Amino acid sequence: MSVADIDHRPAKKRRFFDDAPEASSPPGMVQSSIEPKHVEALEAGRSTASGFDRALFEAVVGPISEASLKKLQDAAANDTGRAINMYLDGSWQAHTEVAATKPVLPSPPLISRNSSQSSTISLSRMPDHRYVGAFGVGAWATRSGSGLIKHNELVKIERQKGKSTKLGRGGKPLPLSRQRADIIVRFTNSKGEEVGRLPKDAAAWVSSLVDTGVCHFEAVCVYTPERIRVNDTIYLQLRCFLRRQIFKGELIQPLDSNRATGIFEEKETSEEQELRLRQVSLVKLFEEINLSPVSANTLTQKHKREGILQAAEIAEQYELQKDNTKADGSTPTSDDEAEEGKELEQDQLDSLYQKAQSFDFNTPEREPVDTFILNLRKYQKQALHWMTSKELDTKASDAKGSMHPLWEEYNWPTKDVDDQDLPIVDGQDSFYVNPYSGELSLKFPTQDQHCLGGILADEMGLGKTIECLSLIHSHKSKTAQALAEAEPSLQTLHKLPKGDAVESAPCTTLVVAPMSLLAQWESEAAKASKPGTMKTLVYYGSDKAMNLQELCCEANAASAPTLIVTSYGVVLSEYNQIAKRGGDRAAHGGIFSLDFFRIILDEAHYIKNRQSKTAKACYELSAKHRWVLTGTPIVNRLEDLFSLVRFLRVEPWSNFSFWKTFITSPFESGNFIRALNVVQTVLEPLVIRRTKDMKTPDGEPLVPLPPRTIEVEELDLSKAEQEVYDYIYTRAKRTFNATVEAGTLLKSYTTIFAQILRLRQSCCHPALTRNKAIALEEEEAAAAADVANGLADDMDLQALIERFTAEESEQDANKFGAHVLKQIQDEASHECPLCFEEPMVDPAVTGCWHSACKKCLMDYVQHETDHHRLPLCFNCREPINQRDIFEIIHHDDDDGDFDYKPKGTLFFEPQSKNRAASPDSSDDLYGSSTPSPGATETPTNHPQSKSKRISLRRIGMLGSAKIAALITHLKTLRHTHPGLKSVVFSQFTSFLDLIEPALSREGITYLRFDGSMSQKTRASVLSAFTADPLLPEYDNNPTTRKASTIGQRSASSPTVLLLSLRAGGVGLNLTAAKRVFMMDPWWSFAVEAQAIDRVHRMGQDSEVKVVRFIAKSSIEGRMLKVQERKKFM
Amino acid sequence: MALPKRIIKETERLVAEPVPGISAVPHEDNLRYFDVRIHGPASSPYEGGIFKLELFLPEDYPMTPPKIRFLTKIYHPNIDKLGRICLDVLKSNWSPALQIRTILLSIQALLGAPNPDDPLANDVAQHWKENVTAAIETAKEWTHKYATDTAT
Repeated sequence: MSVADIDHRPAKKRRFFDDAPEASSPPGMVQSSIEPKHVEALEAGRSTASGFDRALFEAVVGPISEASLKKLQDAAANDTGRAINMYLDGSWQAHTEVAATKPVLPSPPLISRNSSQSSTISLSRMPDHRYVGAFGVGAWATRSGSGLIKHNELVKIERQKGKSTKLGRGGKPLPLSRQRADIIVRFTNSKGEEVGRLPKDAAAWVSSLVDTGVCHFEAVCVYTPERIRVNDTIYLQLRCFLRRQIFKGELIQPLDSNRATGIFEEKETSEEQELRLRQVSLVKLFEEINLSPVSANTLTQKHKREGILQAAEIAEQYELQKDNTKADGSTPTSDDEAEEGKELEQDQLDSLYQKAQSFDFNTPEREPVDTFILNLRKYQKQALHWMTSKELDTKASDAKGSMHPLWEEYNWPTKDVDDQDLPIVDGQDSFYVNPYSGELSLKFPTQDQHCLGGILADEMGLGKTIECLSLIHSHKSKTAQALAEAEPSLQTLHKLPKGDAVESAPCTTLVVAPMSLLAQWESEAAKASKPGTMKTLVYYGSDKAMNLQELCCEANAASAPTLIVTSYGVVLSEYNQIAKRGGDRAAHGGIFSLDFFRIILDEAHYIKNRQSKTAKACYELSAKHRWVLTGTPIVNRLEDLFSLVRFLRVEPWSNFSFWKTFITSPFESGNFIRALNVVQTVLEPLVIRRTKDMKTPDGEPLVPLPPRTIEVEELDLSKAEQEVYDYIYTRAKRTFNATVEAGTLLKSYTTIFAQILRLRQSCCHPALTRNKAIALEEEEAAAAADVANGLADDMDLQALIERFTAEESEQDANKFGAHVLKQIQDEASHECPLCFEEPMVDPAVTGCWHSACKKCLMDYVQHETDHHRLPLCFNCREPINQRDIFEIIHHDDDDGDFDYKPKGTLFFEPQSKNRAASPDSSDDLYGSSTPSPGATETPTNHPQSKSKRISLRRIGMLGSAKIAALITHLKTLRHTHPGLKSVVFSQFTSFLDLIEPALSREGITYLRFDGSMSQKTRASVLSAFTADPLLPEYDNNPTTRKASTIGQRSASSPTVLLLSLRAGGVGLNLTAAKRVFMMDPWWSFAVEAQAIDRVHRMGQDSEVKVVRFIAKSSIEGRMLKVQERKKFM
Repeated sequence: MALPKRIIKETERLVAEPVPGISAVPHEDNLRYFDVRIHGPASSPYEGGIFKLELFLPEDYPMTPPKIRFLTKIYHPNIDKLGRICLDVLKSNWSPALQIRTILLSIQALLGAPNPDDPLANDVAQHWKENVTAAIETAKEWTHKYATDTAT
């Protein structure tokens, strides 16, 4: 018998057609196989018949042509006996088609075939399994004996997996789960007797292909020794068929079941592993049968197979390690778990974003619905359009012709291994394989990813939040829409959820955001919506004590909140609670018990580590639409993006071994371009990203921001400050020179830095240099420099600084008789004798109670001192004691500062003096502690301001020039722009400590924000600062009222926010402020610019003025030069 | 440099409420430079005379006193040949609270009350001490000679 006969394989007598009746099954495609689905039926079949026996057939009827035999075989449904009969009675000639039979029917009805024209048969549908190729293998015998197998005999390839009848020794079936070690592939002769096994290397992948139901194998014995002994080699030719069922559906979604069931189990490993096995096997198969793709993405062409295999091996090792670690019980969970993956270089990142950023300014826009009351900018409307279309998945509109980059196209072979024509299936000349996942498809895989959401990666400040809110308004679920149109009476249907399943929440969008942004979301939502159209619920802390499921379920849709805002922490803790309860989502009644309409993860780089618990918890959140917002989709590793994709459930990227195979491994092995290209293709349909520096085609900036002016204000240090500065400077210089001489400059650079730091501090306020931590550093420095000198110097410095901090001796308050006070007040309202301003600007008085503008007076004293003259009073020529110069502080009603009375101030108003009780204030205030009648009368002389009080505060030459300048600015602002808000940045929180009392003294209300504060405090500080005193907060929903206590605003909200440069650098939105004061420069202007951008960002509606205070001719000036240099770099 | 508000105000007031017997007019091209005329006080040797002075407000006025000098020759123990004036408020006793007006008044007063004990022109002071009548006579002559309309 020739090899040409090989494909005339008698097969098992039964077939299991899933085809529609008209489908015919070609010969060669219908042979038996072991289909796990029908194992039992097969068993039954095998016991009664062992398939078509050609030898028997020919022995009875004589030789017959191939074609005829095929038809016969077909017609007789592989029943040899029947075939003989049909042949003899001629009925097979009429047989055209085999009608579909139900799988259990043993004999299909006969349908005669009317023609026998060509050997090329055309089918209208894909057969059960279709030939793809053949390969040879040298198998080995497990039995000895003769006549076990003959040349050209058909051989069955069997896997014994799951056959409890065979494996269940001792009545104990082996577990059905994967037996990893079991890769044995047996082959049996036509009688079903085991003859031998496939060699291990082939068995490894054949087994997995059979197990996973990808392939069906048929084999024919090519060579066998006459008499077989164990371990003899038997050569087989394996013919390989792809099963139709693996093409079913568009894509196999192997992880679906995993998601649905084992959500809180550690199942991923085995699942991922199985997938990988299958994928590797498939690739190997194609290699063996020498099938190469007719078209594949050019970029994947190269390095393809070896890459895949290599990656798989890497993955294998990785999995092993993972398994090991799991065995140790140390599941990686913590957020700060060391992340894997190489970091990306900046230029790589840039090229990555390039594609996603190639934003087309002509993309359609979409107007938000009218319940959204803010005005959107053009690009925001475009984002809205994009987002809605992503959610609606209008893929019909964009006819993308490009093949999915990961897929390869293969042609079905038209000839089999024996050069025989194979049946053709109409319209199915080719099939598609994804060698990276092992998925197969008959349909053209487009790049379209069925993810009803995406990544909104606009740069910070472009209004991601607003865009999302507009989406929430503009695209609602059908339920919600129906609800809006329905009669109110219908809405009252009140049904409780069944409570045993995850309920759908069709009207609710869940926003997960960092805790500090919860309040911001809430207020933005309120701002953006027509009253009553947005029901917001902050689900956090003690406000969680409600049953969300009940609240949001479909039955309650009418009263369900539109927006639930919660934090990553809440998600994690609920996840943990549910995990503890064994994964019962519904019973918990929290966020996991609902299937939301939409989930938005704000600042989604929080979940960039896919191994962190938070990330895992977020993956399990259930929603129809999934969005992530982040300004930095990739922080520094490609894996960062994976986590987002995983959350979005973008198939197939959300499969990590897939991701690893295709992106991480090539990237780590240095194949950057390829990896980045793929990432680009992943990103492109998913991401919309615009940057602030983008320009519209007309050259307009994307976000027109109001102008921003930065002004450097050079300040003269006061004399005492200068002394401290000079002192530190000289010493630093000496240290420096000493180290240069000693040649230890590099070693002692920390010392130098410490000295420089102290210099910078002394520019701010000399007391800063006495900071304990700094003092320590300094001690070391001093020791390194000159011990002997150090002591004396230190005392010097101490003495100098003490002039700033020393307690002033209280002078006799009686000295300030009523008439003096009256005189002061009268004088102060007159013209300044020095500059002729009327009334005086910031009046100040000398020890002899003569008034002038503070500045005039100070200038005068300075002038006289500079000329080595004793300053005499300009009026009475009394010598002026520099320490006895006082500012007159007016406490106007309109300052609204009654609650912010500076400590340590004594007021002329007797009833207020009790407030002045703090003895630790270093700033001495004088007042009439023994109220004389005159003192109380003084104010009454001013008819309209009965409660007008004045107090005196010592100024002298001892203040910090910067604080003084700041106060001057703020006070001017208070008069010119009442209510205007300012932000004050300093990098030294200790400096902020010193600014605080100065502000209190001036009656300037302020808030403070620094790194030491808890998130809750920060949030309340921010909301208090942002609060608009003019607009009362509106609150339309009783459920939110409780949650929004932090948003409560008082009539006078503070106008100044003290921020530490480091804590305030990121994320904050301080557009409520219009002025920025930078108290001290940083080495790089970028850091300052970032801080300034907190205020000068999207949402800022008026001009922003920035004042940077720089101490004249000090190290700060040089820092500015360093900044300049850095700018050029 | 812009003119400080104080100088503008002083100038305005000198024009609006002139001091009897004193006039001070700023130069158009330099508002810090004033042409001053002082009438000799009554019952003094300088009565009837109109004395021209120049007055200059330095950069740091009013921290430093104005610079002022007689242009008209005058026979006075506290004023030297060059017209420089010995007056404490123009030197050590200057105060920024003083103004052009007050300074000119002081000068006017100085004309009425020469102080030979604190001389600037030593010879005149000597003369004044030795023979007051003759000195006053000379002063009158000089006034007539240099400080009247007929004189240039």
